[in-house]
Amino acid sequence: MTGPTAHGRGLGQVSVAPTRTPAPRSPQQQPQLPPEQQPELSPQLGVEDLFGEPRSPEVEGRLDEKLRQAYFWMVNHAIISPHYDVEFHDPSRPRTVFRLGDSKAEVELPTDQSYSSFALLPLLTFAVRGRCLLVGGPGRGKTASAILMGVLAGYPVREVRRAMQHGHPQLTVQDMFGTPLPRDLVAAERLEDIDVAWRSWLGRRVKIVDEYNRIPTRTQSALLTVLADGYVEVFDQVYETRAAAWYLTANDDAGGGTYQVVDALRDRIDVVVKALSFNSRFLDDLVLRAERGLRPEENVPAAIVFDADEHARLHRQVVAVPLPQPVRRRLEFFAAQLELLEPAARQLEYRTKDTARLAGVDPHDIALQDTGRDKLADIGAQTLNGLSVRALQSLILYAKAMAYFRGDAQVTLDDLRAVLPFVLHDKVQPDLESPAFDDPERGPLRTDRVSWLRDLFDTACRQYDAEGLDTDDPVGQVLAELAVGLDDLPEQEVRRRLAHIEGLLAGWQDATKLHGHVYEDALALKYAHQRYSGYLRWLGWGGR
Amino acid sequence: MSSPVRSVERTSAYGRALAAHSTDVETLLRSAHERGVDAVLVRTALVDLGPFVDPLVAELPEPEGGELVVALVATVLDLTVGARWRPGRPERRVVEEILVTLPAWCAHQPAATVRTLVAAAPAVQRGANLDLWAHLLGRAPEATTVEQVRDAVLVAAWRAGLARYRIAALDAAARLPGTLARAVLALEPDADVPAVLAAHRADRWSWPGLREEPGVVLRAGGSRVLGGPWFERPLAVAGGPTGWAVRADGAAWALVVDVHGHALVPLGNVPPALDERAPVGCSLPVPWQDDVTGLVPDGARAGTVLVSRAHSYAVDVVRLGDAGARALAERAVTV
Repeated sequence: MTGPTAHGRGLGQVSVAPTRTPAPRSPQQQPQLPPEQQPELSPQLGVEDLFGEPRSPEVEGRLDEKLRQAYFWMVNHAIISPHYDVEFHDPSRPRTVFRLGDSKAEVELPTDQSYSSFALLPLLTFAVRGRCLLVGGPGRGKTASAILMGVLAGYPVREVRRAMQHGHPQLTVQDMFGTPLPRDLVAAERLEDIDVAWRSWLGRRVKIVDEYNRIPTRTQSALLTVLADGYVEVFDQVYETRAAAWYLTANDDAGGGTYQVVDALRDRIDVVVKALSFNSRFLDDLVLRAERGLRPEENVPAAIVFDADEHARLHRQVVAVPLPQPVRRRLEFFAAQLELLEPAARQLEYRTKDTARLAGVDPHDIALQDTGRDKLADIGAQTLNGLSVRALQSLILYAKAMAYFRGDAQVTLDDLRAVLPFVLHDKVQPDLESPAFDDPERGPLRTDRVSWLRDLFDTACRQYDAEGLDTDDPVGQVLAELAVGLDDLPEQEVRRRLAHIEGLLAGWQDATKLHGHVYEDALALKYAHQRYSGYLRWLGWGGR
Repeated sequence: MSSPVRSVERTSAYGRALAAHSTDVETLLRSAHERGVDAVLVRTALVDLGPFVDPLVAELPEPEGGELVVALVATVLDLTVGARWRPGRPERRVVEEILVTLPAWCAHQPAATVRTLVAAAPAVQRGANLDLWAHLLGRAPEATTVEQVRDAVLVAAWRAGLARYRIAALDAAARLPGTLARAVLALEPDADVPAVLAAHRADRWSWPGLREEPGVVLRAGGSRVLGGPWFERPLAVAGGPTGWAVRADGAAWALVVDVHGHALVPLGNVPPALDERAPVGCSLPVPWQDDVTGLVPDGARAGTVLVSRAHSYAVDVVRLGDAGARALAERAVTV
């Protein structure tokens, strides 16, 4: 929490003080573009940008500041979540760490503005119009947090409550989405003659599904269609929903509940956030609320409400935050480590965990055959699957939102690291039998998914640094040359590049083990080789 | 050259059309952004477009004016994404120089005209004369349907030198209205198009007004060092899909040629069997003195031969005089 206000006091007000003065960062943390490449325009142009002088993002209004104001109002007045589990550090200041108890539990005091995931991630979901699952025991404030998001979107709190879908075992597709008009049911001769009275919540910018793991499987499948494809179908009538932020709640993180949650539905969820336990030191705030009958959701200040246009602009601005190449490379390196399963196939392209899973074989059993690999150093040995394209897209989007929220001009490694465990929470499955968990010090990582994922990423970053890939990336150069395009490329140059690719692969033959990043680099070189070979053939057949 | 204008004038015809079709333009901008193109490049390209498109749009009613602007924006964004919106590129010349000569085309088929011309321009630049192509199109009256636009562009491309499109162009020319066909074929206003096409289909060297004097008709190939296809001196041989082929560097090429242009097409890794018999002696009406290494008569027309020689990286197509043709026939050279 920040500032002098305590819960219940100043509920309807927002501080006018700026919420964030960016701390100095090391060049590694925040790569700077050379002056001639500094963006003078918002990267996402609109027609209006073509008229008049180039418009800078500043002109569009500081919605990032408004988003931060919303965050601090939430943690100061609405949600009692005195946690700072999303930590940031100022590299110019020394770290202060204390170790408590037999387990030497670390208490690290953040040196830069840090945040509570339980308030932050729903807010980032609001900004990117993503899908957020709030999990935790009953009474932890999951539903209240989701309702607040609806109010932030400008809907009256009563309407937000009414529009919220409550999961229960009898919930049907029609209950949830819309009912055919009885008159039409009797009179209609064809399905398309039946008009459906659609539920009003489908058109909202914030959609809430409470206790989604209590919804019957068939209704879950219909919900999946809305979540994934943005439309719902009842009696041959189709309703297209608009872009929205989704909040789903569940009492059981492990997917239990009245019904097993459909896997595809879990996969569509962008972030998973845990409601942390209540800190009894803050009981006086609860007492104060009870005595005064305060309901934060009924006192949301107008200054932090986003109308439809602001919400759309917010999303546009977040998407426009650049993801610089050095950060992207680390993400590529990390993702590359997770998918490879060398003994799973003979052909290079199929040597993945997916091949094993599709064959009905446990990737762990196949990984045991791989005796030449250091299972402690190889982070791929700790997971049963790799990253899907959807997971990577969510990761990039939330990293951009994190950067935007912090007022960064572009995504930094810290931004990516902060959101990664929440995005990959349900998307990367740990191999709990991996030797990496045998070390007693790493034992807690079996149950602490957030710390485990952060540890995976940190390990990958250390390996990336050790290999010096920021400065020595021959495959990156090959792909960069290719990305410029083949137009007007003379034959001699194409032949030189083909020879260079073959030289790189030849150089790896005996000198390099097939680590995850080498595997993906080899596939990338094969791709580039094919593109150049095809172009060479085209040149010969009349391109000249 | 790019205009120094820094923004689109809101009250210009182009500016009004952009505003009126902002939904379509926004979608295109979003798509370009998703493909990773730099915003500054996009803005510069679309602003630079103004002076060229404005006079065209000002003359057009709706919806054609809007359709033209949307098609141009889509095209320019595609070119920008592919790093092809550069000065000197044929696609850019279409947008900045050629379209403005085709107001009647743009009035009838704005989108098809833009897309077809831009798509065709690189191939025309590579294998033909882009200026002649633009000239032929510019003298043509309007093409009123999408099919006419495509056919006219194809026929003009062939007429400007793309010999590989000959058969398709002859078919397309036959479909065009007479006035349009005469214009893109550069024929006289009273020319009988079907007769011209029929005569040319029967004899690829036939064309109205062509002076059939003996001598070198065209020269093809050249040293790789100077941008040609070969490192070695070529040998003219008989065979391949056109009857005329060339061997060099251990590979074979077919010479596709007609009265308007030519192309050398590699015959792949396994070329067809070629007749590499020594050339028959023959007096050639040529300006050079050299040893002939290959001489191949045209199977379809007596009196025209493909010649390679000892000291040239090029091959020549030579038209013989009547005496030379007779002499060649008497030697009963068969291919």
